[in-house]
Amino acid sequence: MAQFVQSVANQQTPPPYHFPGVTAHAFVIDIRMDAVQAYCDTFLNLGDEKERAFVYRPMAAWPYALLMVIQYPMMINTNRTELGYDELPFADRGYCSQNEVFLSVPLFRHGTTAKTILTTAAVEWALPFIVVDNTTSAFSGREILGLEKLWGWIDLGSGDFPNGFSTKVSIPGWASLDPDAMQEMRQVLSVSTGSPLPGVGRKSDVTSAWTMLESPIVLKSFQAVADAFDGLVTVSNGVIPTPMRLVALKQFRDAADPHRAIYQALVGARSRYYDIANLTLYNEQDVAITLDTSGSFAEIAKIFLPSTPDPAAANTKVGIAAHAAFGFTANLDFDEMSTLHTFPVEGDECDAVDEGGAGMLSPWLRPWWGLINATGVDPQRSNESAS
Amino acid sequence: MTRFIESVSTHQLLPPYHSKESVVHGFLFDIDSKAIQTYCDTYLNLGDPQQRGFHYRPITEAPFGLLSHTTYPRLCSLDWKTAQSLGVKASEWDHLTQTEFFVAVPVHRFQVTRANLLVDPVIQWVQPFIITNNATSAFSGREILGLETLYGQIVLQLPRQPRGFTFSVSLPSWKEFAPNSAQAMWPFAYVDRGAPLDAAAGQEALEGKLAKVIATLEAAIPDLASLAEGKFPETLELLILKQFRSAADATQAIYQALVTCENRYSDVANMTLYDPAAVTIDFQNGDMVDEITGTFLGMKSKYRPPAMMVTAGGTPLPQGKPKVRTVKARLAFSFTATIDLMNIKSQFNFRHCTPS
Repeated sequence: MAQFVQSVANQQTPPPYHFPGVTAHAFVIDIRMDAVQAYCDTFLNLGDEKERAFVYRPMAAWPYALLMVIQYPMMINTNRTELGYDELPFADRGYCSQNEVFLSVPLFRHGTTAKTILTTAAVEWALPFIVVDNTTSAFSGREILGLEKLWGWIDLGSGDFPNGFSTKVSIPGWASLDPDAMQEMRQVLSVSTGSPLPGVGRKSDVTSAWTMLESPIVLKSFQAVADAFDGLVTVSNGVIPTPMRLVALKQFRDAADPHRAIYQALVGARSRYYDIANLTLYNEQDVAITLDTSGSFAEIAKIFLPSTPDPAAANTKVGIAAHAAFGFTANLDFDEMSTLHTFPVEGDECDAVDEGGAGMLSPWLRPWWGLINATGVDPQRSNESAS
Repeated sequence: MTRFIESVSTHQLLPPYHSKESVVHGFLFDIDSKAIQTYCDTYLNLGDPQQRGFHYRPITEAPFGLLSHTTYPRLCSLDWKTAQSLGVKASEWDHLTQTEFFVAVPVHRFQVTRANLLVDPVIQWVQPFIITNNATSAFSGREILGLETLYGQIVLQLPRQPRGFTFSVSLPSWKEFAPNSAQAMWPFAYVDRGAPLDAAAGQEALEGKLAKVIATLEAAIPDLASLAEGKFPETLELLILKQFRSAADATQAIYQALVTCENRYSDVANMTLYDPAAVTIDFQNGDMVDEITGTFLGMKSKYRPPAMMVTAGGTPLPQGKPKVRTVKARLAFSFTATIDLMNIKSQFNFRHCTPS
C-alpha cells in the first residue's frame, strides 16, 4: 500500500479512541428477521459464498435491536502516529464532544466449510442507522471505518417526567420524492421515557455487563427479552454491548461512474464499555419512540419497522414499542480496527488490497492466531484446501 | 463492474452537479511559489516521476490563489440512474442549498520525457481547502471526488457600508492544540468585499491600475481580460488527490488517485468589479487556522506549541503571539452563473498493490 498523504485540512482523526464518562441510553426493540437477513445479504454476504468462505445471518435466538443514544463529553484520540508536514500527533491536538444515536443489530457470522464453520464464528453488530452531531466524527467514521454516519442535530433533554430522558434527532432529508423538493433539516426520530424506576441507580453495585445481568431487578426488567431464549446470562455473551464487535461495509465510489465501487471491504472494530455505573431503568410502557417515515426517510423506516411503511399513509409518524429501556454511564474504548475481508473489485485488481487475516478469526481462536499464522494457514481461506 | 451498494445512509449527492443562478464572489491574491511547490510535491508529485510520467509546478509567472464565496441556491444532481431507480422521470434530482468558501490555485502539469524534460504544460486547478455549510455536499465532495471538503458555518454579517457584502467562516477546530483543548466552532476567516465600483469606475480601473494585474494573471487564466465584457472563463479544470485510509493502519492508503473534473460557468451575468484596496480578508487567530494557512498559502506561521511541549532538556518551547493574518486582494469581482461540475475522470491511479 501507499502512504496516506496527511493533510492539515483533512478533518479526520484516525482511531484508536478513548471516551471517558459516556452516558448511554439503550432501548430494546423488535427487528424483522427478514429485514436483517436482507441487510446481511445486501451489505455483508457479497460475491460468491464459496470464494468468501463466510456468511452473516440474523441472531435467530435474539430477534431484537438496540436503539442507543450516547453522549460523549470527551472523545480523546490516542493515536500518536507521526503525521509529517510538521504536524502534531492527533493525541496532542485536542478532544471533541458529540452526541450519537444508532440502531445496532446483532449478527452471527460463521464459516461455510467444515474447517471454517467454527474458526470464523463470531457475534458482531451491524449499525444500519447511525447519526452523529460532530462532522469530525462523521468524516472519520465514514472514511476510515466505513460506518455510514449521518450528520444531524441531536437534542437531548429530560422529557416530560422528572429525571426522565428524551432525544430528538433531525437530519437533512427531502419531504417527498418530488424531483423539485428541496433538502431541509427534518426530525426523523424522537425518544422519550418516563421517570426512572426506583431501586437501582447510583447505589447500584453494577460495574460491568456481567454484574448488571446478575441483578434481579435488571433481569426482571429484561424479562420480555429474556423470554425469547433460555438463560439470558449465558446467551448474552457478545449480545449485551460490552465488548461490542462491529462490522461495516467500507466502500467508495468511482468518481467517473458513481454507481461503480473502487473499493469494498468488511471492516471490524471493537467498542468496549467498562466501569459501568449509574444504571437507570425505565418502565418500557412509558417509552415513546416515534419515527417519521415520510419522503426520503421511508428507506430508514424499512430497517426499523416490523412492517414496510405505507408511502400513502396519512400519518407518517410511526410509533415503535420498546421491550426494555435502561441507561448507564461508562468509559468506552474504541479500538482493534481491522479489515476483515476485502472483496475483489472488477476492472482494477490493484484496488483490492487484501489486508484480511486475524480479523475474521473467531474470538476463541485469536490467542492462537500467532501459531496458526506462523504455519502459513489462513483460516479465512482454508476452505479452499478443504474443498 | 463492481456495483456500489446504495444504502439509506450514503447521504451523498451523485455527480454530475448542476446549479442555476449561483452567485460567485472571487478574490485573487498572491501566494508564495514555494508554498505551491510544496503542495504539488506533497499531494500531486507522488512516487517516481519517470513512472508516473508527469510533474506539477507552480505557474511561476502568476503564483496566486482564487478565494471564492459561492452560493448555490438550488444545487442538484444530474445523475439519471438514481431517479430512474426510484421510478421518477426527472433530469434534475436531489436539490439542496449550500455555500462554499474555498481557495483554488492554478498549477502547471508537465509531461516528463525519457530525458527527464518537462514539456507540454497544461493548467489545472487544485483546491487546498474548501469549506461548505451542507453536510451532504461535504460527504459527496470527500467520498466521491476526493476533495477535502470541510464542514463549517458560513454566515453573512452586517456589511460595513451600503451595498457592501460581509461574511464570516467558522470551522470545528481547536484554537490551541493541546490534549485538554476542546474542539469548538471557532472563527476561521472574515471577508468584507466593500461596495461595487460603478460602471465608469470599473472600466477606469480595468484600463488603469488593474490592467497590469490582469495581464499577469492571464498566464494562468486565459481570457481573464474578458471580465471587462462581463464574461468569465468558461471552464476551469480541477485536480484532486482522492485517497482513503486503511482501517487497520491509518497511515496507509487503500486507494490513491488523481481525479479531474470540469467546473463550467455558463449564463454569466451581473459581472461586478470591486476596489481590491477596499477588500478585507482576514484569517483568524488559532492553531488550526495557522496550520491551514501556513501550510497551504505559505503565510508566515504563528504556530504556538502547546505549553506542555518541552525540549529534551525540559525547557518549554517558545510561545508565539496569536495574530490575525490579512490577505491583500489584487482583483475582486462577482457574477451570477449556471455552474456545472462534470466530466469527472480518474486521471492517474497511484497503483499501490500489496506485493504478492
